[in-house]
Order: sequence, then C-alpha cells, then structure tokens
Amino acid sequence: MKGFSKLLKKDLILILNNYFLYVTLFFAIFFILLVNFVIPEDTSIEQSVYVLSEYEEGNKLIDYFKEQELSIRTLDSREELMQYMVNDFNSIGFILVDNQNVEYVLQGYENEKTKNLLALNIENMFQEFTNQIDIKTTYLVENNTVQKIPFNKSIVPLFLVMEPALIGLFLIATMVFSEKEEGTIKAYAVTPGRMSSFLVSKVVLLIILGFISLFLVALTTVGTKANYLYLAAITLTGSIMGSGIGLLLSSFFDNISKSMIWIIIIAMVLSLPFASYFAPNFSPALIKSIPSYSMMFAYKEALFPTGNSSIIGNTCILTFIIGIVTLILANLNIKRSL
Amino acid sequence: MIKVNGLYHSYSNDDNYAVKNASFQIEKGEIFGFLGPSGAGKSTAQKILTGLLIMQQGDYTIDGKFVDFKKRDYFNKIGVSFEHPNVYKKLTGLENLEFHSGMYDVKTEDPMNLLRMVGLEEAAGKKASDYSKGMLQRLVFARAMINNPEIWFLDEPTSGLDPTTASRIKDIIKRKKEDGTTVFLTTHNMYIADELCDKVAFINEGEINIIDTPKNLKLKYGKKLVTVEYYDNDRIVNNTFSIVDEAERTKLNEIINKGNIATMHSQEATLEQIFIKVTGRGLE
Repeated sequence: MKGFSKLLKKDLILILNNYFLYVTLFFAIFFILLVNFVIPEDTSIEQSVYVLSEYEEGNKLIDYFKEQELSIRTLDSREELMQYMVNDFNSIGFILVDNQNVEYVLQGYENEKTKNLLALNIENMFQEFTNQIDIKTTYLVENNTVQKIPFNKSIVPLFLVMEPALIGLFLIATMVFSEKEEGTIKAYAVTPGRMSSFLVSKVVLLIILGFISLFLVALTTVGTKANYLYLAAITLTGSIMGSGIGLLLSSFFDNISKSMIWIIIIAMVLSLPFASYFAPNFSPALIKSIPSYSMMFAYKEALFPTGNSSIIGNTCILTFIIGIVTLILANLNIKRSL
Repeated sequence: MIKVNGLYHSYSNDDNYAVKNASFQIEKGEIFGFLGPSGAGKSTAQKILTGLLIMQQGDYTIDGKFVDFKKRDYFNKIGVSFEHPNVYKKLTGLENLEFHSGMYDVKTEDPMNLLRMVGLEEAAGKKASDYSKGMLQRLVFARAMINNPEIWFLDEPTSGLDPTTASRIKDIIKRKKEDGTTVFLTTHNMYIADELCDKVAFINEGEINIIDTPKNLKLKYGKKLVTVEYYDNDRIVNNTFSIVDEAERTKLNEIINKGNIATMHSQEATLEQIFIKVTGRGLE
C-alpha cells in the first residue's frame, strides 16, 4: 500500500508537470463555454406562416389552427401579408378567400413536392376542422413526463464519453510510452514494486481525471437534476475500460510513434457510435456492439433521467469487464516490451 | 556466494545467442567485472540477473538457493545502476529518490544523504531535466544505493563523468565493498576494471573467454621486462632488461646498486592488451 501511494503520488506530480491535468481542465472548460454560451438550445428552423382571412368564417378556422399550436400570424390585408413575406425569406402565406377557396402565397423557390405537400396539408386541416375528427392516444406509461432536452445540453453525454474513452486512452498511452522512452519503467521493474501496481496507479489517475471533468461539466451544464451516483459509476467503469485499452495498446510497442496508427484506429472505432446518437435510425448491430454506444445512452439517462436505469447497469458491467480483461492482458504483456 | 551456470539468451528465440553458456561465481563482498566491448553481451547478462530479461536457460543461485524473480523479495536485495540515465526528468532529484525509496520493503537510506554522497545536495530540488549528463549519471548511481543492496549491479558507473567525480564514485564503490556488498560491474573501461575489480571476466560475442584476477592476468600475459633510464657518465641511457635472463638480471642489479636510476617501469600488459590477445578484438 505504501508503494502504491508513492506510485500514485509520483503519477500525480507527473500529470501536473506534464500539463495533462491542465489539458483535461482546458477541454472541460472549453466544452462548458461551448454548451452554455455558443451552442443554441434550439437549432430547429421553423417556417413563419402568415394568414389573411377575407371572409367572416375564416377567422374561426384561424382560431382552430392556433388551438392546434401552429405558430401563425394573422394579417389584415394582402399588402401587409406581401410585405411581411418579402422581409421573411423563410415564410409562406395563405389567404382564405371563401369557404371553398384558399390561395397560397409562396416565395418562389419551393419545388413541386413542397407545393403538393402544402396543398395536402391545408386540405387535411380543413377536413379536421369541418368534421372534427377525434384522435385518441393511449400512453403505455401514465404520467410519463419526459422533458425535451435542449440541443446544447444533449451533446453533454458525448463529451463525457470522450473524456475516459478517448482522451483518457491517449493520455494513459502517452504516459506509459514516456516511461518506456525515459527507461524509468526499467528502473521500477528492478524494485520489489509489482507491474500490476504500476498499471493500477495509471487507472486510478484516469479515474481522478474523469471525475474532475465529469463534475465540472455536469454541474455547470445540467446542474443538480442529474443522477450523480449513476454518472460516477459510468465514469468509474468507463475510465477502467479506457485506461485498460490504453495500457494494453502501450504494452505491445516501445514508443508512441509505432503505436500511433492503432491509437487512431481505436479512437475512430470508439467515435463511430456518435453518429447514431444524432441519427438513432442509424444504429446497426456492429455499432451497437461498440462500448461507447451504450456509454453515450447511459450518460444521457443519468444526465436526464427517464427511469430507464437498466441501460446504466448494463453499461457499467460491460465497460468494467472490458477494462479488467484488457488490464490483465496488459499486465501479462508489458514486461515483454521493456 | 553468487553462482551462475550455463546462462544462455537469444533475443530472436533461435540459435543466435547474445549470451552463450556463461558460467561464473562471485564471492560475497567481491567486485566482479564483466569486461567487453559494446554488444559483447555484458548488458544482456546483467539484464537477465536483474530480471529484466527472462532466463531462457541456465541456473542462478545465491548461497545455494535458486533465484525466483517472481518473488519480489529478491529485488529488496539488489541495486541496479543503469548506464542510461533513466530517471523521471519532470521530478526533482530528491523526488526521484523519495519515489524509489517507497518501493522497498526494507530499511532505506535517507535520500538527502545519498545526494550528498554523490555531490548533488545543492541540486536536490532541481528538476532532473535541468541536470547535466554527469549529474544524471550520479543520480542513477545514488538511486541504486537507496535500499542498501547486498548485490549491486553497476553498468558503466563512471561513464561520462569528469575525473574528480569518477574518483568519488570509485571511492564509494570501494567503501561498499568493504561493507560486504557484492558488486557486479559491467564495463568496457579497462582502467576501472583494473582499479576496482577483484576478478574480471572477458566476454566477447556472448561467450566468456577467461575469468581471473587482474593481477594474475597481467602476470600470465605480461612481458617479464623492466625498462630503466639511468645515468652513465653524465648521459642518460635507456635500456630494457629481462628479469628471467640471469645475465640481464645481474646487470640490472648493478645499475640499481650504483643508484644512478632516473626512471624504472615494469613492462606488464594492460587489461586491454590482454583482452586483445585473448579475444582478438579491442574493447572500444
């Protein structure tokens, strides 16, 4: 234990002197600023709809549209409608001429498909209004108050995955290669200290860095609503996995340049699931099997709880097992490339 | 007593051996020199004995017991000074020694004392990256003493040091020997080997060619001649006499008895000359 605390102390001094801690802090602060001040909460682009009713009954139809939460603006004359549309390129207008005729006012860039869609849409709305079709919805879970996640906060899980699985992997590999190049790992190998302690010290280091980054980012972006126990569990096991992969990789090579191609390949593979995060329809089994995939959604669940905690448990077990297996392999292999 | 028997090592796991059938024994408190040029296999032998390389073939016993590298206790007994200054450059000299001191299960030396011994006390708080090559070498040497080792492996301990510092390091090695430390010294420097070693082994192309004391080697391979400069009627005469030939020995005695000698040197061979004679190869 005495030896391990000395190892950890040495590694902590090294990450301070090697600026690794500052790199982690820089990335975390940069991300916090990005989320809180640069990326908008809502990136959806809504089209403005301007409406003019030229007959009495038309106003009732407009009121009905408003009840359906359509954001439309009612105007008093054709001139006014035209003027508004000239000033707002992303807008359409329609004029309720009488109860049989509707006139569309378009910008001119809309294609045939859009025009047909608009025609179909307004026809449906007329039918709904006149026939009052009642659509009944049944919810599987009552009182399920799933809140819409603002776009800027929705990318927080990606950063939290990046820290242990990508940045951490690279930092750990860099630290081990630095020890190999300086020959300090040989000096350690001729002491009673065990190579397993040497590796575990690096894992603990990455867990510390992961926690610093996690609490900084989560508290300043999501606040106290997140489940911090779950977040800590995912970061703990994710860090074990990230450092395990980094240590296994560094056990095969004697310098960083020889291993660089593998670091890049692993980083790319671990980043592939990011595409599925924004386009959930794109999630083939191969991508789902990459551990960073379930990590992303586990972080999302812990940050914005919906009650689906099983994904967190499964992710922690998966990343923990991968971490332990890679650590055992690294321990067996590391002395071969001293 | 350290006993090594039939040591082999091949980096390519074939018949291309870096160390081939090396056998030797070292008495407790003895300085044993492994003398050979670069690539002769001396560092490989040291790496095997320090557990850095797997022992592929051979026996290694200390006081009759086989050394088990998996039991870390062996490492409490040894100290290793590497030729390459492998210290943490981002840590200070003192931090480097404090870190290593924490790795042992036995009583360790005070890091500051060690730094003082090698003349680094004033640089104790400086980062090792600011040390000169000689300072780094001294730090590595000091680190090898941190656990008061019973067996001390020294790889080119005076390499890159100025004569004064080298002399200081040699004095420390001599003192440790007097304290009973067994020293395994690998070097290609014949002067160091000659001055420090009780026994030397000549290693070339992985094989040990000869093991003996430096004195015996010189007696065996040196010429039994004495070169004398002496005054003869106010002029200096330079002459070489055989100490084996009766007539020449008598003449040498006459010159000595007259007391006219200016200089006198025995023509013993250096270890390098003997190395070349035995292996057919120089030490550099």
